[in-house]
Amino acid sequence: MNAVIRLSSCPPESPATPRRALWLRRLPFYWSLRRELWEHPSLYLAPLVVAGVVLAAISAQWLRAPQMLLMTEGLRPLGSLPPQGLTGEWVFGERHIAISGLPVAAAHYMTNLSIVLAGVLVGSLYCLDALQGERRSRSILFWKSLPVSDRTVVLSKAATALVMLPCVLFATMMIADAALLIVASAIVSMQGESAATLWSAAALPGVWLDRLFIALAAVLWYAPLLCWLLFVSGFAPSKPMLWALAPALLSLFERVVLGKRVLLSLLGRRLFGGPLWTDRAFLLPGDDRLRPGGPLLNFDLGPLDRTGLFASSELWAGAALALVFLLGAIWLRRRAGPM
Amino acid sequence: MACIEAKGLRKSFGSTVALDGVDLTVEPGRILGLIGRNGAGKSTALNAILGLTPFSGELKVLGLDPWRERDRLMLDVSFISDVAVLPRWMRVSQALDYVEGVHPRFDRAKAERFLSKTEVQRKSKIGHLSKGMVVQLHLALIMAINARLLVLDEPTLGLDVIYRKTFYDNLISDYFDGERTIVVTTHQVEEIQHMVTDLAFIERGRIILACAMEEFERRFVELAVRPDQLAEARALKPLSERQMLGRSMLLFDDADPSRLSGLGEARIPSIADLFVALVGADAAQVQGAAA
Repeated sequence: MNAVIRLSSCPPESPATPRRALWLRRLPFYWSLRRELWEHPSLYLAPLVVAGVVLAAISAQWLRAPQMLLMTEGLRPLGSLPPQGLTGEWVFGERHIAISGLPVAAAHYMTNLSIVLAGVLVGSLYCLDALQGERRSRSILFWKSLPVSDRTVVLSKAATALVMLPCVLFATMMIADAALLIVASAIVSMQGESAATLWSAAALPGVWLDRLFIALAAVLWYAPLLCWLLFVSGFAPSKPMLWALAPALLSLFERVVLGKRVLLSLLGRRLFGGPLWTDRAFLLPGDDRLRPGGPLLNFDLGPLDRTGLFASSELWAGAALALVFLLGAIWLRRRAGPM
Repeated sequence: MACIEAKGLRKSFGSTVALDGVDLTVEPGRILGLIGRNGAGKSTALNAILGLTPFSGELKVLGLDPWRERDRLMLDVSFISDVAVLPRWMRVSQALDYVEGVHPRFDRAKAERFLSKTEVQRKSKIGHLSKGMVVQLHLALIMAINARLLVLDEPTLGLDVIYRKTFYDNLISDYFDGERTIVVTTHQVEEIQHMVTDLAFIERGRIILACAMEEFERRFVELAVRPDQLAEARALKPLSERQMLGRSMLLFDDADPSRLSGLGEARIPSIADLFVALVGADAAQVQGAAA
């Protein structure tokens, strides 16, 4: 028997949604971004801490052997100093650089690479937890009790990983660049030399502008990977890391069982190829450009082909795939409940 | 326009039927107690009403399809589904900031006033608050939203009796204004008996009883029958019979008061007694275990 409640109470019509709701609808996205930063302070703290540690280590090396800094910067003749100041070696190809003689440009490279790696780590972990954490803690029921659409929630999480985190990394790198030059200038000045050449060689505004283009290209290039992690976090019942690695396991299966390497090549190129690895942002030890006197260590890589960064069809195909994963994540969030 | 109107509402999870053709109409300004055993379909019904799960059949909440028009619906609907759902990493002040930022009908001053009567500190992390304080915070957030429908799914689960009573007292004195509609499910049915205006029992995905409390009080009578009149009382076909302190308690539906008079002491049964009578011995065991 299905009964029906039909009561005689004569309810007054509730007031309509206030007019201000129309423009306030845009604010949930802003508050959703703030929520992500509240919940995940590691997104900005980790790169800052890593930058601080690397900066401190480099500064300590320079302070221990200030004359080596002068030597590697060409302010004193090479070999004019006794070797007692050498404390270690950094191998680049066939050439060795004493760590205590780390030039400013290499210090920039090390610091920036450390910041980016920290960002990649926290960004990946963030995406893997973004949609699963709220289901695990059951707090999804609180978030869903508020007038914030699933689309807004997922897009705010994607924007956190693809826009806010890169902005944080970019700003941290700018601060680290400036801090390194200030420290180097102070040491050089204490040795009675002019620091002007350090600043003119660094040409920071141009470097930063180039880096901005590289960052934009990097975000587009790696967007499918981060959005895949976000998508995985939307459906993985547990251990999202294992689900996230499914394509890698599939590629191994393809290679070992089927003897093909289509998926492996695609994944490898997406991870270690593309605009970031073909120009200047990431260089591995052994690259000629890292040798003493080489272009990177002299801030002399030549002009960047900025539009060329975005010319790759692979880049845009990846961005389209990222969009597919995002739509999938929104679909999953719509149906998600506590675990 | 009804606040909630469901016709033939169905929902299955694989081969398990959670809602099996629920018909339910709740008018605005009412407080509905939705009572059922674990797994009877209460939460599924509420999830459908809140647009959290797709369904088949017809369902309108405040005139909107909750699944298709959820974003609009949530401007006028609030819910507390469990005491443990507030994010533990969040600070109290951040929770206030966030809800104020995303909800155009949130009155922050009202929430602050409510919290000022509690020991909840603005800088505290929710994870550091006691269970009762988390409920107070959640209630402050929800009560400050000028919503037309409030859904409470086991809102006092795990709380001690003081917090439970305070919760419902605050809800009625500070929130319910006779225009808003409240739907509440709980296993502690005695605590809502004097609060609800309407009652619905759900069992195996179907509504087995739905009535206003006025009708409940008119229709159902529990009679403490003297032993010498037991046979006469049983002849009136009671819904159930149980023993209490050596007396037989018989529960009648729509019995003629003139025929009951003289057979024993009559009273309005508790919701729990009626639920046990209607749902049966299995429910009695479950309720006993829960108590």
